Amino acid sequence: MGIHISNLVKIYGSSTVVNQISFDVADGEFVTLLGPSGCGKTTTLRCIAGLELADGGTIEIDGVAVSDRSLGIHVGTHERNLGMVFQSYAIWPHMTVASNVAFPLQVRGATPKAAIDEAVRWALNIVGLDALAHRHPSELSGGQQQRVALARAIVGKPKVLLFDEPLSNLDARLRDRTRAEISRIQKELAIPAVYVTHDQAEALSMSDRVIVMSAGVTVEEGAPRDLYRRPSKRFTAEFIGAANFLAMTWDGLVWRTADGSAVDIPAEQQAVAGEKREAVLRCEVLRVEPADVVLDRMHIALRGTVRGLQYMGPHTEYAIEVAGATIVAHSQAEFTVGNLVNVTFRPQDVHLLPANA
Amino acid sequence: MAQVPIRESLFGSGKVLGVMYLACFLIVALLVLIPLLALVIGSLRNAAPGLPGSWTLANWGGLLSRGVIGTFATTIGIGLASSLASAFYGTAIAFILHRTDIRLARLLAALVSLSFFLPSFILAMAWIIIGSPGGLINGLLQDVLGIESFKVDAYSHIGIIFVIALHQVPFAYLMMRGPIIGMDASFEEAARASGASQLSVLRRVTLPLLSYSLTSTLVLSFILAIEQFAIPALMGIPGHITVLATQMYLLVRFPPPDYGLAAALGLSLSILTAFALWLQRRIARKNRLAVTTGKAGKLALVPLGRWRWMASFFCWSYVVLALFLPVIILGYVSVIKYFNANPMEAAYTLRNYVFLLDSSTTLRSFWNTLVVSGFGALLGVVLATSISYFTLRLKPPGHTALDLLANLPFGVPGVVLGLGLLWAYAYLPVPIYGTVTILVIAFITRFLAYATETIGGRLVQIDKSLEEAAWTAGATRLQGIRKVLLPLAIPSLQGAYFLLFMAFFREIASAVLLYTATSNVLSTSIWSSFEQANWGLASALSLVGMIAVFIFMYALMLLTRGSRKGERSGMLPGI
Repeated sequence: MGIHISNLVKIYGSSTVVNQISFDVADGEFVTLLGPSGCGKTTTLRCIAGLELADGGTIEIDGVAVSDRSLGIHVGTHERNLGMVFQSYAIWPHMTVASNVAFPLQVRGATPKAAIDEAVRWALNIVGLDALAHRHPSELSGGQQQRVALARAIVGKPKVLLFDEPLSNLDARLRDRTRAEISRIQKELAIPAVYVTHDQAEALSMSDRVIVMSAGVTVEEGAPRDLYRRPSKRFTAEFIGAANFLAMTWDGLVWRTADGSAVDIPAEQQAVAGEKREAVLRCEVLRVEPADVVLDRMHIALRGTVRGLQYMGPHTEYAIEVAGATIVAHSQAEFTVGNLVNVTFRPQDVHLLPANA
Repeated sequence: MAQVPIRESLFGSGKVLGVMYLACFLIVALLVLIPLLALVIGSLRNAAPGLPGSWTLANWGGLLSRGVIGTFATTIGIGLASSLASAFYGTAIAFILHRTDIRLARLLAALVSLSFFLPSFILAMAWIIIGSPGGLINGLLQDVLGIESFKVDAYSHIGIIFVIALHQVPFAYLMMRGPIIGMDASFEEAARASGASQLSVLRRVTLPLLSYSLTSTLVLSFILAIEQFAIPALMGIPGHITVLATQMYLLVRFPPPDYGLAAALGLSLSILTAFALWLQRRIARKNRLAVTTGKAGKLALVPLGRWRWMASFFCWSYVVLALFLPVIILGYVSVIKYFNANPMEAAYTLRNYVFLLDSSTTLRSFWNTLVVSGFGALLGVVLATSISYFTLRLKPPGHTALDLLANLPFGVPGVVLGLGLLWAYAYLPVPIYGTVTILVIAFITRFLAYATETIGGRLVQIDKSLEEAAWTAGATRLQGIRKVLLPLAIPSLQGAYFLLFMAFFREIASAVLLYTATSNVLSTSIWSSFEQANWGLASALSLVGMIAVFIFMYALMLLTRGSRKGERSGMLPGI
């Protein structure tokens, strides 16, 4: 049955932190709230958990209204049957790993001792910590603590899993591994999950669906691939991945850049002559070639000048002045500042933002 | 999952917490407001408590009389001199012990901290025995050395300032120790890397960085000095030197009593301390912004070289003057028959100790102390824990008022509080005057803020998400408190208990107007023996009392140590 949120509002003093957010999470679905800090994503999550009292709208978990201001409903956090993983892990330092994980079952009181032990073993096995059950949290690494938090969240077979930037305190390599693990476990258990992050890599790699938020409202939502390749909002293109924007005008026959170069891309829709749009060009689809190289007819080429460069190892990041704008392109070829170059790309790699983006 | 109505009013969940909050608020309000209101009313009446009279402003007018203005000047003068001395000495000791390569630094640190627990009135007694006109030094000068022309007099301004300073050095040391140890090493390293010599690092980086802490220590020492009662009472009254606290005591204790003027004096002293306290809080808040960032690295120890003996002499002389000498003198006086400055000629006896065991009064005072300190401190910790939880965690409507109320007595000197209670329970139809209950009330009120500070300091370190994780795991608020918050806060509860226990044991200022023969505690027994010039009995009581308390505290520490296993501080997320 999943989660159903409609018109959620949360106000702190005079600022509306969450403004009419609505979304659903289907059974087994992994939905990520993605946005810069202060966009209201964590507040939304905390409203679902009942840690914040919503000021408007409704929240349903598994078909039951847990928050509805107009009906005066606010089910306490402890009665919502949640599993939540916190940014700080929130592993209780005075309990062993096993007692941390057993806590949700013990505190609800309905499970016999033997069944609790069995459930703790099951949960620790899933996160791969069976051997550390009797350790104290202080003896664990950050990654291990994170997995204890995960085991504690799933042990009670909750109706919904909530993640509040759970990976932001881990170092980069551990983050990649844990990311894959959370995805795997969530899929295995098929519990609907809401995941909050400001990290686009986490959002893209783990989610079935990403909801991009900004200033308390939903900007856009969709599957990771669609959001990355065909964003309908400039904010999405900017926030997810590195994007270049080129201003284009439809002259009735072809799209032209500010300096008049033609960009021959398949017309997706009828445009009116003189209509201005923005094209999104991802850094990684661009190729940088010497200006004197014979052009490949499958590619669109724009003439430009190298204005700056940073050697990054796998590639060099070039800032190139093209068509009245500065764009960023990655290339393994060597150029120096002032070189004339051709920036080339395939027509299908250009994405035109809608007029109201 | 049942659909339940919003309980956004007060408490989020559970009626129990709501009832607890109201009870806690009510208790604190009664504790604090009753004596304060009694003082305010009292200062505006022209009759003794309980007697018919009329409203008047004469008491406040009386503050402008010559004698009172002189008392104000004496109070501030003694306060300034002794706080400067103790802040200087305490800071120097903290610096020498923790930033130089002095020998036996840990032993010295332990001894200085230990002297913190020597009650002020016991220290004053010892120094009266040593330095009064009929005391040890003069006895030695005259009888042993035959010098008649030179005499020392402890009943003097210098004597009072000296003993107050001695008494407060450990406080200044403990205040300065944290900032000195916790200073970010990179500040000094950066200065040295910029080419500064050891001395200019100290002068241009270290000391300026500590200036906020130093100012804050100075102001707090000043507050403690001007509200100090026992030392100026024991040493000043014989020499006709009065400070505000002792003047109040004299006005109430000796006929003809003038309760109204005493109340007005008490309130003005409270206003003075409250102002200084407000100043200190402001300084401390700025300090937090200034230097508490960064990690505590390894600070380089300053090599003392040939100055080491002087540094050692400096520190050891304090320990001798403030701890060893007083204890030895008390021990000596407790076993001699008649006072004699020359131990070779003295007649020795154990009669004081025998009397202790035989006398039902002193035995009762031991029992009363156990009740007041042992049980009273427990009540204080329970109350302080609730206050800290409500003001720092749950924050229901009105929690700032609760916080303010709990901190209010911090600015009220002990004698003033005692007077307020004396006055209040003379009016109120509650028969607790002259019982240990009123002492427990007085002590809890007076030291509540110490306990909330200790416990609150820990509570704010416990990341909010630890409790939230319990709720999301299905725990109610009460379960969250019981299973997560309290176990994590336990060390601070123990700390607060120790603090209150010691404070209650050594408290005299607020008790001196409230005790009677039946509600005598150790401190008041010692006090009254000494007032009756029974130096031997007072000394014996002091020693036995201190030893008993240290044994009790040590036993408690051993008992609670077991429960602390598995607790590892620094493991709390979010720090």
